[in-house]
Amino acid sequence: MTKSTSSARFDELIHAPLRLRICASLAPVDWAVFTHLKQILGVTDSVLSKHLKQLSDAGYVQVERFTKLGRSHMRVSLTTSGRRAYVGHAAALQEITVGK
Amino acid sequence: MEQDRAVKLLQSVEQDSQQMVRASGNPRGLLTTVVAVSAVIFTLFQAFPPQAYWLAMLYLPLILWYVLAQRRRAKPRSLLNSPSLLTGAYAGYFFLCILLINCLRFWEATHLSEVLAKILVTFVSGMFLVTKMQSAYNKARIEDGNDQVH
Repeated sequence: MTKSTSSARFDELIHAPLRLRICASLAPVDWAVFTHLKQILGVTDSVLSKHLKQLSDAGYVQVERFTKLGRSHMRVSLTTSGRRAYVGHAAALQEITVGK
Repeated sequence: MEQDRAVKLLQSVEQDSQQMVRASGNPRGLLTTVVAVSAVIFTLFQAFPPQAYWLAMLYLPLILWYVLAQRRRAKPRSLLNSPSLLTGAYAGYFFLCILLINCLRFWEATHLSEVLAKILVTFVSGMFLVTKMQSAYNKARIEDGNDQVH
């Protein structure tokens, strides 16, 4: 999957299992709706919100609110720096597995 | 960090990415129905040209199904510039699909048994190629999401 590259960089913030799962889920999409992401990860609202807040504070994730058919939703996406950090972290994990 | 832990984390990353790719893609049932309806329409259009044109209306509920299936789904990243998609297995199976359609046009089914056989052959071969295309597309999406920083 992930190729080992020179941009491999271990990221302590992303390394937490759930935050890594959030980034892995958001990586193949432009954005995901909060409820959809919650269903995929199988976590509660509060747990997901807490970890999204940490990622958002670091500038890795962008959370947007929007209204559709009179109902409020939240759209979550990886920012450019978040994507770079995630790809670098995944590459760092890959390097560890090959014993570099 | 231990290698075993890194391996487990990478497996978890791949599983989560695959799950999101599947969840944000089209439902399997919709894909199967589109191929089945297309096989019927393609065969009957050729066998009974003017009378069978109304069958195109069968696409209307499928369009509605597609629109409803897209609601609340995550938006996939655009893969238009992905080299693995354009030069890889996806493009190969796409051209095989075009080749299949053109080859099947030479089979002029007139009797009921021939028409049914042609529908079956079109559906089975179409389903095989579309499934392969879908797998290649999903793989390209996972690779793109985990390897591309842009």
